[in-house]
Amino acid sequence: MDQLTTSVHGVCIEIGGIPIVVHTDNAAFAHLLEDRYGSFVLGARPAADASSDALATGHKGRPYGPGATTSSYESPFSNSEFSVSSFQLEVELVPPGIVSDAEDVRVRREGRRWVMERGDFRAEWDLEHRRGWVRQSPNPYSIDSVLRILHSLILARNGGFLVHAASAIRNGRTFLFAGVSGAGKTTISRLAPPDVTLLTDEISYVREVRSQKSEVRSRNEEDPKEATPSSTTRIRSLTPDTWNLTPAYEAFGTPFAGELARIGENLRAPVAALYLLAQGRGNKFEAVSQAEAARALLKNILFFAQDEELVRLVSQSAFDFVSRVPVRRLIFAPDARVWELIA
Amino acid sequence: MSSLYIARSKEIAARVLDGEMMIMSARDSTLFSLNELGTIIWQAADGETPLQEIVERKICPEFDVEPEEALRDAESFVRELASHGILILSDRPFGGEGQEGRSWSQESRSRKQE
Amino acid sequence: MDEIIETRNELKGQLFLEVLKSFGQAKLAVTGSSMLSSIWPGDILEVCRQNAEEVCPGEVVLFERDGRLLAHRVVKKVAGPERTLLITRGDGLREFDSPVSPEELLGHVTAILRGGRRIEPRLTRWGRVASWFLSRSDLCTSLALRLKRRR
Repeated sequence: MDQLTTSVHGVCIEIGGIPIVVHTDNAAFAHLLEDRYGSFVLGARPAADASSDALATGHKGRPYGPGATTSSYESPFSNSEFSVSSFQLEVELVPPGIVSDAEDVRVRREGRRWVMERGDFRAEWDLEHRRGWVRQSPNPYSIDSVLRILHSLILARNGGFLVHAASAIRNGRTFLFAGVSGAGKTTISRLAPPDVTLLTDEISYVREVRSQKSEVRSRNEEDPKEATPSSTTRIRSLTPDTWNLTPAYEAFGTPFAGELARIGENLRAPVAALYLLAQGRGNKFEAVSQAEAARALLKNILFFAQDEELVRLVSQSAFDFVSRVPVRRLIFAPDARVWELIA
Repeated sequence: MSSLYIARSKEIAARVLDGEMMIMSARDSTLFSLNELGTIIWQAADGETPLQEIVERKICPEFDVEPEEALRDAESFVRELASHGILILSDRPFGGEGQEGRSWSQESRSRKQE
Repeated sequence: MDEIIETRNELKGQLFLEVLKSFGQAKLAVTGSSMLSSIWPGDILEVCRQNAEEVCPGEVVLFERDGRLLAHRVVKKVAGPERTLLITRGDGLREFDSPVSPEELLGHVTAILRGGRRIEPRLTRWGRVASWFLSRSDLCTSLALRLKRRR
């Protein structure tokens, strides 16, 4: 494995099964990251050992190093398909002050590089080589913003997306709740009974299940001529029974806290359904067409950059998603009985 | 009658969902849903077949319309799609590879966000 | 995620409203993501009281709805005979809120405090956000409407 950096500390933050190792020379900043990202940190690199071996892939891509680490949390994802050295982010700390004149975040692609900047940081990222750097002052917000953007860029290439939706796990499966501001994402999250584990009321992290990827990609390139409206080759949503055997998408907890201001739990579960929230009398489901589901989903997906390749990839993922995951409208009067419908 | 050739752009995401032809233009993030006629034209847009022939062979036999009228409507339809970067237009067959997704009749796609 | 202001601690929310009422200005921390990518969780908003008539489209305003505090951007003003309604939307969202009445309006955001820096929110965002909109278009309706299948 090539030695990318001479930085002393490498903090591996794994979200969505995607580990990004953040390198820094500054011990205090490394501790700040460990505190901030809690159960999403796979184990800090001990200060005493600066050799690259400390980050060598151990069991199934998990890092381990000699000596105790401040957080002994290990990845629950034993089948992490990315070796832990996959994504590397070097942090260059500068004194507080203006790093870039961009007030709002600007994300743009320059050839193979992505450039991200805002008043408080500037970052570059090479998607092919999976490495980059960020220049910022020692604060948790800049790196947090960079990580969100990076994940949305990496997800696009991995059949995933970030979406304005609440997600909750019940009986080992995730239910996603999308809706406009005020439709009730936070409300339905608050009404969840104790057996439900809330991932977020805010921004859900969704990824295609890896083993399905090759099958899906070939469908992406499907010949449009074959896909006639009247042809019999339609892609139907999987029913819950068949679905359980071949999960198509998973949702993950993230450390990006929502309004409920809890750091999400580092969990993942297959997506059982996407519900489009609408307020009304009573609690019931309504059918929606796949086309309508695609429109609703695309309206809620986060795009940090108006980049053609990004839009194309993510739209394809959205189309795939609605063709493989049941989507329905959920009319709900804001009361806890709505959860009786969700199982 | 000018000969117009049409080809599907690569700068899109497309999928048939429950029988509806959905196309997202990556260029301007516009989502389209084509009806049956639109889908026929879209699927026949192989870059080799003139639009006129598509209309004559696939639309006129099935639908109650005069060829000239159908062609006029088809032309305005494909120009609309081309303006969103979904179809590429040309006055000659595209012939082989090399279609980068640039509209023939559009001004160069130099508009980049920011 | 409807709200971007921390209201989990009811006391802090109440305190904020009291300070705003008494002094005309107060600060509040952001936790939600509806204003991405202009305003991020962790940002602190400086809010000043303002009437609906004085608000300009493009500004970010704070309003109260269903017991929560929302800070979204004003897209349009609808001046009625007796009152002005504000049409707002979070920068990171693609749907409009239902119109904000003068009674719900608390004030406008005069600055964003982030990483020790004071940023004044830009007014013109409409064009950029609009380009991310998705529109649905049933093309070929002219062909479809007039044509019937033979047979």
